[in-house]
Amino acid sequence: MSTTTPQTPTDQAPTPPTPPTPQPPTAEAPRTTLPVRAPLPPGAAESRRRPGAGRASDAYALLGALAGAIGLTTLLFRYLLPLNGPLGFTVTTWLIFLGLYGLLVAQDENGLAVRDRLAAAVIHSIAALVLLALFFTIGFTLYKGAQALPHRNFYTQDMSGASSLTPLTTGGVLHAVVGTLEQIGIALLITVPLGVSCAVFLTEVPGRFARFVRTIVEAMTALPSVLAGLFIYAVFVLLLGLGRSGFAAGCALAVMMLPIIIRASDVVLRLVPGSLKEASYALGSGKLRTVWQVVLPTARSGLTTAVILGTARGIGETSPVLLTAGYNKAFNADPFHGPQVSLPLLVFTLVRLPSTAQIARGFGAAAVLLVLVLALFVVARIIGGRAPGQLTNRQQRRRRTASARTAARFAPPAAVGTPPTLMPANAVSRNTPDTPDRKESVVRRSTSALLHRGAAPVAALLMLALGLVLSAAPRAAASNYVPISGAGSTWSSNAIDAWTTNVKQYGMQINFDATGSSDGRAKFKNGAVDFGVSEIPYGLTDQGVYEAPPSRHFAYMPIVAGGTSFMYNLKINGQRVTNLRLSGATIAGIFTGTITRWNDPAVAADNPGLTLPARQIVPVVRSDGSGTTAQLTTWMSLRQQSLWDAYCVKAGRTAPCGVTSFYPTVPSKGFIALSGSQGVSGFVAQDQNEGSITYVEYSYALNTGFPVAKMLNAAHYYVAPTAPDVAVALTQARINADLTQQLTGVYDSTDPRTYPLSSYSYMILPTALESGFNQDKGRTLGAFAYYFLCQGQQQAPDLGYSPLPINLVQAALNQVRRIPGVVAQNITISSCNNPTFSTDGTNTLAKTAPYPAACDKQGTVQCGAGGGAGTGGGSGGTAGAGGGTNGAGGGAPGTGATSGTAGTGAATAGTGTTNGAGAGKAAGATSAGAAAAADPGLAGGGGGSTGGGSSGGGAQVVADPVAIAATSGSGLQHTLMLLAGLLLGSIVVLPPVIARRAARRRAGL
Amino acid sequence: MRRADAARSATPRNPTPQNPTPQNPPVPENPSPPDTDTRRVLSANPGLGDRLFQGGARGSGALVLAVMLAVGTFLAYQAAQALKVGGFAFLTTQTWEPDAGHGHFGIAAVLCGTVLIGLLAVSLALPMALAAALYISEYAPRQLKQTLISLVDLMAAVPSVVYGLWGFFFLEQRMTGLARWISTYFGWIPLFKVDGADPNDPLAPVAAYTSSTFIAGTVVAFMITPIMCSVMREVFGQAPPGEREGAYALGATRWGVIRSVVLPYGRGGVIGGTMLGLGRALGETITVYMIISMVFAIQPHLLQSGASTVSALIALHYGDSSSFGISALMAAGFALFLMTLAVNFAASAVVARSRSGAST
Repeated sequence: MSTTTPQTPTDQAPTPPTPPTPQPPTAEAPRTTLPVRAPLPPGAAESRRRPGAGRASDAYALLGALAGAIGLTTLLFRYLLPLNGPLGFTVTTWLIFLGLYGLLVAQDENGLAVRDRLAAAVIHSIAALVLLALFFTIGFTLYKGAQALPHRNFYTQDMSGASSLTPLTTGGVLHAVVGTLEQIGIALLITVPLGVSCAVFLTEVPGRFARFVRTIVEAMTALPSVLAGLFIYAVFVLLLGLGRSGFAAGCALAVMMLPIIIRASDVVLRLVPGSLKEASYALGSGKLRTVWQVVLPTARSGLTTAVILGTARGIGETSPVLLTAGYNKAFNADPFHGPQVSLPLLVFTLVRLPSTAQIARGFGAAAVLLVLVLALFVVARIIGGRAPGQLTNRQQRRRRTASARTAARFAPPAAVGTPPTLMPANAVSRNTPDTPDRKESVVRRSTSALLHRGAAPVAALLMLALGLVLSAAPRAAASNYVPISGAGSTWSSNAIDAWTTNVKQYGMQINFDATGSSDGRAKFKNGAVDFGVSEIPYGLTDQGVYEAPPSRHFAYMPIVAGGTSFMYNLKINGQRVTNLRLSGATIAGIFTGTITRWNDPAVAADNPGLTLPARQIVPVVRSDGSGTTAQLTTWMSLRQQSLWDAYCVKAGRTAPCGVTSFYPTVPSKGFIALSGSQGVSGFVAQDQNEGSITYVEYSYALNTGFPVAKMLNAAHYYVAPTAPDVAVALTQARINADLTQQLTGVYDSTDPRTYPLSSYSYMILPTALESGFNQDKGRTLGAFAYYFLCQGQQQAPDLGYSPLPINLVQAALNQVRRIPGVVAQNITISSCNNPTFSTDGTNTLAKTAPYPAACDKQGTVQCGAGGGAGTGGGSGGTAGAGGGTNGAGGGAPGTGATSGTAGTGAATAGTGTTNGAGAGKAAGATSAGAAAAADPGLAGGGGGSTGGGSSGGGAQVVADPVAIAATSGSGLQHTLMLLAGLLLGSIVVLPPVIARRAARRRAGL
Repeated sequence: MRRADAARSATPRNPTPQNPTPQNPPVPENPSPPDTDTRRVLSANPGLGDRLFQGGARGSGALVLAVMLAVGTFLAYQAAQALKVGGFAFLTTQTWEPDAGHGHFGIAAVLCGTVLIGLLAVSLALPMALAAALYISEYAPRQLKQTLISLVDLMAAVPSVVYGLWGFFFLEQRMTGLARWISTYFGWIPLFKVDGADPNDPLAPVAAYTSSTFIAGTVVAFMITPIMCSVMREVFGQAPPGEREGAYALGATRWGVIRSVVLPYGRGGVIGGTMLGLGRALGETITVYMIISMVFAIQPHLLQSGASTVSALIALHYGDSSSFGISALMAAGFALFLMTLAVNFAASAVVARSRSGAST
């Protein structure tokens, strides 16, 4: 009862209060007899009854049912039924609670009341669930973001200095906050005047046209936000060739917000009481004055709320921004040029990276976004907390004094009339004194009121954005380089990210958006970016469609080499496998769905040293257009053609399938398709996704500390994609005149150190001043290219790539000269510290590359100790990767020893053969030491040696967990459990029910 | 109280409020007898300002109309190129390889996926929103009411990417167990079947249960619940107090009042709010994109990994598509737009006809 809404006076209006007219007494006896209450005992005061208050028995029933439910469920879960999990526990408790509560209430209430109580319980609990979900969503974001939020740099820096491996003490979200504010500011500049005036049009100039507009606007509220983005993308980027920018994003947000704001304002304006408008007309004012002085001021708070809620909606939208703004890491306050990231987009991009630091930053950015929305919301509440025309205390006071003044002015002639103060306050206050002689001041006042109060938050937002722009402007102008933007390959993006971070100190701002090679080529083609990065050139035929080269002039330039590797997540007996070996046919089998289990004979034949589990293989492939996919499918179409074509046909394509950037998927094969190298490697790196395998550049495995499979080469050795082995392989690559690569020689190279899936990645350079490319950009791009071709290359092995050989660096330097506006540098290649360079022109890295260990030969029991060295391998790799000459260096710093005894065993095995873990197999251990030097990423695993496998560290896994549990859950067992549960239930429930029935019968008798 | 409710809610939607001002005083009768006087022609001569205002208002209306129509026609125009090639097969093809030409790209799979996720989300969100709305309007203590209303409205304003984060990092890991349980015991229902995952295999990969329609639908359900809830709550709050109190006076319990007064009165609002939520769910992009793994086949198994929606398709392929591919994406987007349009119009039609009036 307590919550029923009291009636408003207007609801009672139609029935005039009739005075109670006593009926004349008739002869008949009165039909209704009032019960006569027994007089109260003297001294006892009559207590007031509270109909809404609960009784003690209600609370007892509730608490009793709850306690009973928890107890019963615990009993069921602990002892009787094969159930577990907190979710199951909660749901079971809830159901039992409802049952018990119903029973308890039924003890002393009728069915109607039981239903009422049960409904109340259900509604209360679901409402609590909804509220809990809200707190959880917000709390989870804040909790996860708490890691990044306390750092002050998080609010004062941009992301240009922060890559995946930098700690949280560098990098921040300032650029995204500015981007968000500017974009939403642009959107508001468009939507607020247009939206409000359109809403005024809809309400104040009614007619057929207005009805039509209203219908269309209503229809457009159904427009999915991604379509607003697609529209602006198609018009701005594809049609007009303007490139992605903050302005485009603002426009996309405006298209999305416009119908929302118009509709909300329309509703608010329709709420303005007609009597007010009529009064205004009656006083002789026209439409304009009525709208300006009556309608808009009356609806001001509602309009502001509409705008602010539209803003809150727009500020959190990701999809339109995703398509139109572009991602960049650096501060860009200019919304008209270059990509400009916003908070939601930054969140979306960061959390997909397989790096804990970046994910923490992503959550931090989400928390900032949430606070921004919250603040807007609170402002909306404060402003919009009033009905149209309802005034704040201050406004009321001001109106009162104004009308008092008017009253005073009119006093002599109207002395006898009712003083204005006696009129209802609302009516007075809204009919602003509107005499001709005060006309100007009134107009001025209402204008300024609108400006100052109604639009205050909007103005504040804009001012803030403007302030930030101004404060940032000198920073951008300080260097003589201009920001340039590129997009493309995620394969090589780890290297490019490291380079862009490094060149920041020279004042260069390179915005690279890792969105996939196909995207990079498309963006370069339509002029959206200054350079593209791709593994494959233009002019290939993908699914029968020829990809035409762009009309703008361009050149290819190799930037870095690397190996497309197979990163996997596999455990045997709880220990991570780090020494998986796969032959080409097996790999093709896995990625075409013919090998579906890890214990498949083909996988087992490659790995005689592992007892592989009967776990399903989950191949994770790229869903976007990808150069990595193209590299893999090039190899598959050439070397595993029958498997590949059979798969392709199953996926609905026509054989021969050939190279494709878009991996075909067959539904229900258990493939997972995700976008970006970040996406697929992030999926594999999740602990729960055991059994998954994907193809990414080696650096992704290195960054996430996950192992990659060694791949069988034509010389019958299993080789990892380390820098030297990639360098050896690529000595067999044929380089065309335009510097593109032909890799058949690499696949068949008989050097035992060859990693067969090695390749180069290319930058697509503009060679003419067109599509917005100018001399300044050319100078920046040239300087950047000089940096990474020379100094940048020595970093490549650390990052998981392989440096370019001297001939390609030379060729690439020649390509740099073709960039218009470049300041040519004469680079002495020998001073670059590129590990491949030598004085006699041979490839040092390839020449000194260690030969694979004997245990890596096909048919031998593999190197490494089974499991457990995963993290050791990963971190050991980064520690010892630089030199690669120190035998112990690869394994010993494997700090991953913390991961388990096997890791320790493996790491120490590399340092000495006398160690117990070596188990006397001296030859094996030494050769494994060499292998450790060769492949930094696998050092932990490599150190273990065959000896370690069988006796040391105890890592060789013999148990086959599948056999243990598969038989559980026989029918009889389940039935018995269920019966026991039912018995328990009936023991609890039946006695009271029977007792009650018996009692009732007795009473009835 | 009621007026305050309507006013304090996010967007006051009540088009027929109680008039806060006293009724207009009766127009005084014309003192002169009407038949002797010639009828006065009432023609307003709007001044320059008014004419400017009318023109300006009409102009801004026309501008908005132009923008809106431009979006619609541009989409349709761009889509036409792909539709011409795709023909009728565009509706029946499941794969998405627009560059391969006729019969190789279509929206059968993505549209089905969109509808599945939308329906799942709505069917999960409906009881939640309904209960929350009933709680706020009928059960909540008066002091709490305003706070709760604000909270629900705030929930509606939480950015979708935040829900996506929550779904991806929190919910997904916890839902796989439930999904596995459902598929183990209810796998005989085709909807809950999971291909390629043997429930008796303890090593069956969790991956078969991740990135599924079920998880995406659940997250979207939490996302649309507040929107549906706030529409329903507003309508419930308008249930006539007279009827309500009449029911109480006749001895109805609170649930009785809800069943006999509040729900019948607010039926339009419930349906309208649900449709509105469905429209939102169909168009949701980022949350779904973060969670699902795209498959281009009709995937009726809710719990199985792999799903697809039109908006996720656009977000995935807008960048790496050829110009024809973009046109095909536009066509898919246009189909989605038509669908959400139909849902929205159906919602407003239902609400407008209901007793509670047009309040969405």
